Amino acid sequence: MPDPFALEIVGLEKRYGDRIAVRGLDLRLRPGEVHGLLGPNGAGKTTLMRMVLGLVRADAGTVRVLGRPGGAEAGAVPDGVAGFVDTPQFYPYLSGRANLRLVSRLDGGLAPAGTPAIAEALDQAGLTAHADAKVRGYSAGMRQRLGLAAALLRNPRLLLLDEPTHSLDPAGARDLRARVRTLAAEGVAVLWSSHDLAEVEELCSSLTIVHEGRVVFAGAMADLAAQAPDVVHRLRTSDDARALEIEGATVAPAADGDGLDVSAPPELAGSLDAYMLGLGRAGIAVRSLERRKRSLETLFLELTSGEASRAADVTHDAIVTKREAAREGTKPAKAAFAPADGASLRGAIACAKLETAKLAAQLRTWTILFACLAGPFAFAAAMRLQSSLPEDTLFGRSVKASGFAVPLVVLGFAASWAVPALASVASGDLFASEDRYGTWPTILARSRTRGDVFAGKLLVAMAFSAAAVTMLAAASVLAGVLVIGTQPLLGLSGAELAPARAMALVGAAWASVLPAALAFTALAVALSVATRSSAAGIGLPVLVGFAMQLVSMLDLPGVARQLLLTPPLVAWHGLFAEPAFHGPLIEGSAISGAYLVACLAAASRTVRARDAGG
Amino acid sequence: MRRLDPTLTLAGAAVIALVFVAVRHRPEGVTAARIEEALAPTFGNLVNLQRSRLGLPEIGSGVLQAAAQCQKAGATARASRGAGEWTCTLRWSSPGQRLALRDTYDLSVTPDGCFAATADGSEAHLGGPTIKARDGTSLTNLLYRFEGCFDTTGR
Repeated sequence: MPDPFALEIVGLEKRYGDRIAVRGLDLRLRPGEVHGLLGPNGAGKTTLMRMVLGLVRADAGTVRVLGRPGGAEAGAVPDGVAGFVDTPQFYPYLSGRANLRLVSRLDGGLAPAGTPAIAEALDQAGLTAHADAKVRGYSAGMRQRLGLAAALLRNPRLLLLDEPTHSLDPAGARDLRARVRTLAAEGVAVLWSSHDLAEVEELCSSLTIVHEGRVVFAGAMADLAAQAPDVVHRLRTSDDARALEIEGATVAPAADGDGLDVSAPPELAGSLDAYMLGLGRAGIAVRSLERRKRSLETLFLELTSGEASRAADVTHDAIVTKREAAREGTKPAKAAFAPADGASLRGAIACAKLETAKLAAQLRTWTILFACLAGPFAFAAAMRLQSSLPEDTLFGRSVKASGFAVPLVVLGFAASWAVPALASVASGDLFASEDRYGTWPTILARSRTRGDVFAGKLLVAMAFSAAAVTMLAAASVLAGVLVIGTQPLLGLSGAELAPARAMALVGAAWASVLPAALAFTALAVALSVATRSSAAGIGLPVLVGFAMQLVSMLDLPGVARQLLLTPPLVAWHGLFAEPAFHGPLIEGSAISGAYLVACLAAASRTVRARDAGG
Repeated sequence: MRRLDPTLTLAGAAVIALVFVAVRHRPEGVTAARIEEALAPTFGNLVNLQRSRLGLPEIGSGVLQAAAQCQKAGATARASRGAGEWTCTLRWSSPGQRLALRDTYDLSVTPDGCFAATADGSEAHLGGPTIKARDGTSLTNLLYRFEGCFDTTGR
């Protein structure tokens, strides 16, 4: 039998330290229903939304979406589920359209047929006119529209919208509500979070009111209206004391001393009229009569007061309880702490494509690659023009005698700072930039697991580091050969190396630093993840490289030297001896591998365990 | 079957790699013997390369018989080890010379096993930074200052 609920939440709990953000919360939502999630700021609405989308891990309880496990337990957000929390964030250096193109890659071919095209989604969200502008120029309202477009791309059957109109102008809010009504009419279940009762009253057929993480009311709008107190009017007369004695309505002095509060039960519509006529007959002049509170608002304020919160368990009994849920076969279970968030090849590749597109869209990427290409030519030209030689560097005395010495001198210089810098410049930013832009929820609320996202970013980080080092190597060789020439190279045992052999050894030397470069990349990833700071992710590995370089120049005991990551960057020297020796290369590769896996294990664990945007 | 936690698998691999590195035979790094074993043949190769550039015939290793004896600056022969400044004496033979030649080099040795050797006051045998070829052109003297590397990790 198909699951009757588009969303079913049972006993959901979330704690942040000592603070309980959501406590034992139950909620059910049927297809085609627009359900309001109402509560004051800090009530737990957004945390609830985050748990449903799997951005935040629940401490207890279960989430089922469209008949399948949902939340963090599901690993990726199931197809047909979409939404956003807070003000949705996107990559500011890309246009709205480009952002949608990127995030839709995270849905891949998994999105069901009939998914509206990006242009259609932009049109539905009312953003077509600004689709090609950079997101950095968007207002909060435009970002909300873009968030809606991103959600619509998933062809949702369950749509979660967290205060979606709070940054929209009145016309935009009206259009969005109309759009949501249309979606609901098509069978889409909508969970609409808001702190605006009037908005929920206008749009939603049912609602859940939460306060301090608890449900204080759940049911149909009509049920809430039935519980609402009488409408209160503020009355000011020429003689308030005598007005208190007139019969026909419940009258009491206002608590603030400014006039009288008059209430009349809604079923007795004429009682207020009778009371006013009574005032006239008594010769009491009415100076003002104004409706002070809407009845639902009064009830809402009562429900979300401290008193109501303490009595919440009573109200809670009126809705689906854990006991009832158990009876109906949806027994709440302790939330899973080993979610299915592993990586798949397909998912990792999809995420890698997204990261590649992001890198390609950034000027910084091309500047770095250009520097890798141009730098060696500038160096070779300077060497040719200068009379002095970099004699303190290995092969420095040979830079004018053989073009093959140029890439080796560049490698000698690069080992101390350029390789760590190239290794970290992209990788140190790939993870932290999601924190900086607030885009973790944007990419995790799609069809890819955290493992996919981690693997995709890692693939691109490693590929970029390897590509940058390879480009620097190739440019150095080209610069040496074109500017100086292909003369034989004097090796490190006093023998001349023929051009072909010199070329092969130069290639091997540069290749030998790749393991250490990838280890620095992994270090940058780990630091970027741990600190959530791009500056730390990029800068600290370079500083670590410098520090290790300084330490490695000391005459340390062998084991201490072995634990450094910089000796592998100079382990290629043995290739140019006769006979060649490979001990430092083997040791260097082993220590690089150890750094690599240790850093990646730490980073992977942190990314998988961390709440996103929570 | 229970699946392996990839994180733990990676961490385990890292530990294995570290253990592999740690248990490898740990050599004593920069030693006099290693410098001597690298310096003498490098010098021999450079002698012949220099002769080749000067249009002179090669000297066989049996004739050259280059041998080095090195000591770290400020240390006794027994305590000579580690990176820093070293002094090496090279003995070698040249065709037509009845007695072995003896030259001194100052070496700057780095912890990774590379050195830069500079001739110390032996211009009579080795010449200065540059030398003259037969045709009068000036050439870099390969024997005045040269560099080399040796394995600090092997047996």
